Amino acid sequence: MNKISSFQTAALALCFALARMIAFRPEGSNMLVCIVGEFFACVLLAVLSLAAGAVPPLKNGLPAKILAVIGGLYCLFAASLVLAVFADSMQYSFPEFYSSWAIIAALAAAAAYCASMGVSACGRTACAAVLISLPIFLFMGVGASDGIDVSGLQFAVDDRNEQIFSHFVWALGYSFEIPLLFMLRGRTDRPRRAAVIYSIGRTFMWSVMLALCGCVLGDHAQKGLPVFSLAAYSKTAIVERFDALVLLMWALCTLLALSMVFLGLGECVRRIKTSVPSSAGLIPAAITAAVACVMSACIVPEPAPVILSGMLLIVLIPAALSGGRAL
Amino acid sequence: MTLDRLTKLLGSSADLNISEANLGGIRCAAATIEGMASAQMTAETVLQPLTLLSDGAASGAELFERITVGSFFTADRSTVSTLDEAAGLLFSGFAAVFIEGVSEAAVFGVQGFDKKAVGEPSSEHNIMGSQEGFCEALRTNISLLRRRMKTPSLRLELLTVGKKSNTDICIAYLSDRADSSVVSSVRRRLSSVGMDVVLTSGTLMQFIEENEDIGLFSETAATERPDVVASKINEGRIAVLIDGTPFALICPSLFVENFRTVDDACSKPYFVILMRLVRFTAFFFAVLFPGIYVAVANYHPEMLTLKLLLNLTASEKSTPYSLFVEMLIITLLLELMKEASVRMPKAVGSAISIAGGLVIGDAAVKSGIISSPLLIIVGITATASFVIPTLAQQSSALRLVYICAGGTAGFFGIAVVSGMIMCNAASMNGCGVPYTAPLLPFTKSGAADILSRKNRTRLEREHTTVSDYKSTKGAISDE
Repeated sequence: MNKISSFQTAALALCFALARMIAFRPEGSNMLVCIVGEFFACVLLAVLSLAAGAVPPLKNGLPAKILAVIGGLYCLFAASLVLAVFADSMQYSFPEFYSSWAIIAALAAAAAYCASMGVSACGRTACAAVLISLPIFLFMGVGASDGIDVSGLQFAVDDRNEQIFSHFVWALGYSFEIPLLFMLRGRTDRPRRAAVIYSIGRTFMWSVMLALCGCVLGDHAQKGLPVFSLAAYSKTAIVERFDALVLLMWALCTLLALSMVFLGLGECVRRIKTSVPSSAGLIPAAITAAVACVMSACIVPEPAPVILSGMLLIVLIPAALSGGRAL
Repeated sequence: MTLDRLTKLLGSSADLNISEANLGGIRCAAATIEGMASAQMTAETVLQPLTLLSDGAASGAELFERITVGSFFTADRSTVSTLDEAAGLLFSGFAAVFIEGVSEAAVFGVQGFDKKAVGEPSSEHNIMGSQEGFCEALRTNISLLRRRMKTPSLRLELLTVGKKSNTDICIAYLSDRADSSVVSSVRRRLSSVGMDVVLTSGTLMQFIEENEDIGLFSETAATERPDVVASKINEGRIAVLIDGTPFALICPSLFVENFRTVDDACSKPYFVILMRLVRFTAFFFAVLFPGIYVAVANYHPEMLTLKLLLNLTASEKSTPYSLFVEMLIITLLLELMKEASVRMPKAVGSAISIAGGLVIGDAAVKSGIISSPLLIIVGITATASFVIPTLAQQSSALRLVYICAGGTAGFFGIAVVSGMIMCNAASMNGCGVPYTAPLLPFTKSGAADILSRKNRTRLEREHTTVSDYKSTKGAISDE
């Protein structure tokens, strides 16, 4: 089977993390506390994905098919939630311009198209997206550098442990890319290396961005979408505000994240029906998923992070245990 | 009898010349196609020696042996046993000699058709490189290439495509650099072309490309410069020369190669970096600038500084249409003028610039139909689009797509369209080589050449071929 490099796989997963970071709402938590919670979540996920990455892809058989059905349903659920969160956050940030339905329909169709181009195309595009995001965030940081005040990062908060745990659970539950990395391990050149690159990249990215938000915005970072607040504050000689550029990166990363979900769905479809050729199985699967997403994103309420974390751990822990034995 | 059948096969064609003679009791005939064979060469290298050799020949078979085996006539000489073969060679400028009592015919290359002389390339100008460009004659083009690659490993394979046109094409590659599987693949694709008539290189391009139906960009490049072809085949690529067109095809082609020129090799490295940055910026302006302008002005005006915003608002106030519609109109007008200037005779071309630039542009602004900042944007876009002529088609089409995306959904639309376009480009694997290489997938040595050029040490030491991009880890996937 054709495979993609570990960097491309990591870039796909990082797009997921980037999109989540831009749409992150701390709901009253201090940024430094969130960084600590994020760090713990990253460490746990890195350990689990490293162990799970050693599990060889299952041969065709009934257990493999049952797992593929579960994986496919998880992908549909993840896709609908990603779309719902994106549409909701878009409504929050730019309420006058976009309707939820249009956003969901456009994004789902575009993601289906991207997924139909193949895993290597999505992987390469994800690398490009991550590369493009770096100078944008760098300029944004430079533009906001005059307002940096380290005292904005407070670790001495009243309910520190609760906040850390709360963010830890949230970060764990919304890490849809981890099960997807596991599902796509058969298509990755070195899945465990991809997990390492992704974990380091995610930890670094989240830490730097949240620290910057906390330092520049102080307590204001605890409300709304802190990355967008920082973008609104940041100013350079050419660009007065960075909101639009952050929106550009957000939409691009969400598109690729959704493509990754569709690729995972395509992988599950191929496991269920092996005779389906890769491209032929992927397109209808993606379209079906897109329709399901359009429906579910507006009907299904957002589940609690604890439930999402539970779902993720149920999938990952047995895989990690068997992977650990394989090691 | 044979001559009658030949005349019948060619439908008593007006350009078929047959001269018959009785040489020492042996009836002979020489056939040529007027305008394809040189009359002087035919007389000097075929008819005259034939007459001399016929002295003392006892039979037709003996004379045939003398002219095919026992003497030199022309360098390009062979025998044919069917009339179809003979007709094919006659149309390529050969002279066919028929001798009574011999079932075969001897054919001699005496080509002498009118052709354009080797001139300066019309679409790829340079400053310090060669000023020679390909012409329409395949043999001349082959010689232009051979003059630049005097190596035994240069392979030149002749094929014929087109059921009716029987167009001669030549596949050129270096046997020690090109991937044999890629050569076989190109040969197979070209051999299976089922068209009746092949007249241009663009026609064959679509048969060589794997993603022709879905790809926005082209996996095959076209050039009319023999030095470019020589340099490309040295990198393991395959060139296809086509009779009747000065444009050679090169496959595979990469996206970054659109931003390289022949002059880069003659310039200082820092200047190469500057020029490449200018070209990349030009492509960005040509494709994205109008779309981003519409998106910023309509959806995200807060991005702009206050002074600029006030200026734009003041100029837009007087126009009757929305900015999106204005931009669409002016971009379509630009495309219209570009198309007109390409199709019109050169003498009228300047009139179109005057009509377009002065009359339409100036009048549109003065009458308040279009705002002046918009005209500046389109002027910059038009100038930028001429910097990369090889991506002109893509620039024009994508510009419109981006205007629509920016006009209907702002930066969200631009992001979605960008993602789709990038995925499309990244999915292309012409001849197994990713179109976005050496950046995506990343290849250290190749990536260094994206902005700069190789220095003396690297030029001597590194002999990168396009196959190197196939073996990189990221390139191992192929859907």
